[in-house]
Amino acid sequence: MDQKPKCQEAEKRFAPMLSREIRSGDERKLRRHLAVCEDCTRRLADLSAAWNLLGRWEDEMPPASLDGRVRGQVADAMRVDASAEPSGGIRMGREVFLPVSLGVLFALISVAGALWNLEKVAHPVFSVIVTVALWSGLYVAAFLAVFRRLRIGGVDVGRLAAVALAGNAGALLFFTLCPISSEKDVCHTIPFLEPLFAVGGGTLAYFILGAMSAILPMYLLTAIVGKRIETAPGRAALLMGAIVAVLITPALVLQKAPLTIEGALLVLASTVLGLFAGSFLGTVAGLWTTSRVGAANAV
Amino acid sequence: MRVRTDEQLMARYAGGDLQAFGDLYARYERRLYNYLLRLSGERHTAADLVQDTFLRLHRERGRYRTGASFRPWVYTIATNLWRDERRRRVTSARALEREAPDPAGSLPEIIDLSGDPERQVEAARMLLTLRVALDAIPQNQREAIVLSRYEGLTHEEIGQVLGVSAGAVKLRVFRGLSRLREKLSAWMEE
Repeated sequence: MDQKPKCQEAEKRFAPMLSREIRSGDERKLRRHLAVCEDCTRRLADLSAAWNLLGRWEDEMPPASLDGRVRGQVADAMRVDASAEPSGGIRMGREVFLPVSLGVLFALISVAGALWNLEKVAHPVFSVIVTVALWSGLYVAAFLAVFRRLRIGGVDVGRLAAVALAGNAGALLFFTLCPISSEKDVCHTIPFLEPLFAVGGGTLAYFILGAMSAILPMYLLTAIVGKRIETAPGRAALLMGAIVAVLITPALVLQKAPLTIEGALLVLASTVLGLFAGSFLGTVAGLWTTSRVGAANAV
Repeated sequence: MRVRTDEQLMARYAGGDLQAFGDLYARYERRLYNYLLRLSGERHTAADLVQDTFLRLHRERGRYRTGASFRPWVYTIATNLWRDERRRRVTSARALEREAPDPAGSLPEIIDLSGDPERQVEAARMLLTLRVALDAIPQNQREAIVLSRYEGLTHEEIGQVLGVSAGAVKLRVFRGLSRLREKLSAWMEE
């Protein structure tokens, strides 16, 4: 049998074999081939010998003066940077500007929506206090996190919080269009929403709306700012889900005061799950786009 | 004391923490120096490029993508600087003379000439042979081999540094080693 194709396959595994990166399945295949191919066995032995010989060029110490040169130069550059930044070191790049702008835009929409609905809620004064206090606090916290580059476990909390808020504000926009207290009256007039509200008393609809409102901003932000929200889409989504669950959803539910406890729990659960699923899908889609575009680390 | 990852240090440094820079520098000074020494074959060039690498890292710190692996990123900077330097040399008439470094003029200081003279001479010959052999293979194969053999980067990471796929890296390492094997055959037979 012609060994040539198998030898070509084996050659591809030589480099991973030498650097010990080879996967166990590939190693088994390579060893099976080597057992019957003297030519490849000899070539791998030659390459291995060259590889080992390279190891005899050992590391040497850098010149002692290098440390002082580099540290001094960078310290000087930092001083120059500090004196050139009039606003206390905050750099308004597109990475900061974009989520903040999105956040502000959606905050305005959210608060406007909440105020528009005010006449329909059972406790207007309470709702106003809750709305203003919670949304203001959330946005201030998010912006501070953005400006201070707050990170937890390598994940950029500020940007995630801004995106979560933006996503949630998108959800609020939908809820403003279809208020919970009158969903049967209003939403059933929108033909494409009616089948959704017929399932599970609207739970599925809120899940889907939550997911949809999280997907777009997450996708856009991740795709635009690239791998700043990278490493673990799951971890990013988890954190964002936690932000939504702990901070944002109570505000959302409290705004909708005339709910029964059972209804509030259903809406809460479906919205949290929807936002969580949406943020995860949006992050994954954004990362996929970024990785397709490539050049993530180009300098 | 808690040991921070490179990525955590870089994130802190990007936020203005000079101590984090010091820690990163301590981790990477020697690695980058030896990496650039193996690419350039010249000690003073390697030292200058290390300095340039850290200065570039400082200037580009705002572009560092949180969570992105630090190691490929910093090697990308170093590799690009080396390529720029190499390009300058090729286009400079004066530098053309330095294109073929005088190996005898840059014997590694690491060799302790106070020991057994025969062993030391042998070690020096070995290093010169390796340096000349690495010089003689195509640049892209040399970069891949040095990153894999000496710096311990994975093929995936090397692909990020060189802007190619992991598969292309494996091929470069394989082809580069095959050429090296020819250049080093005399030593391998000894």
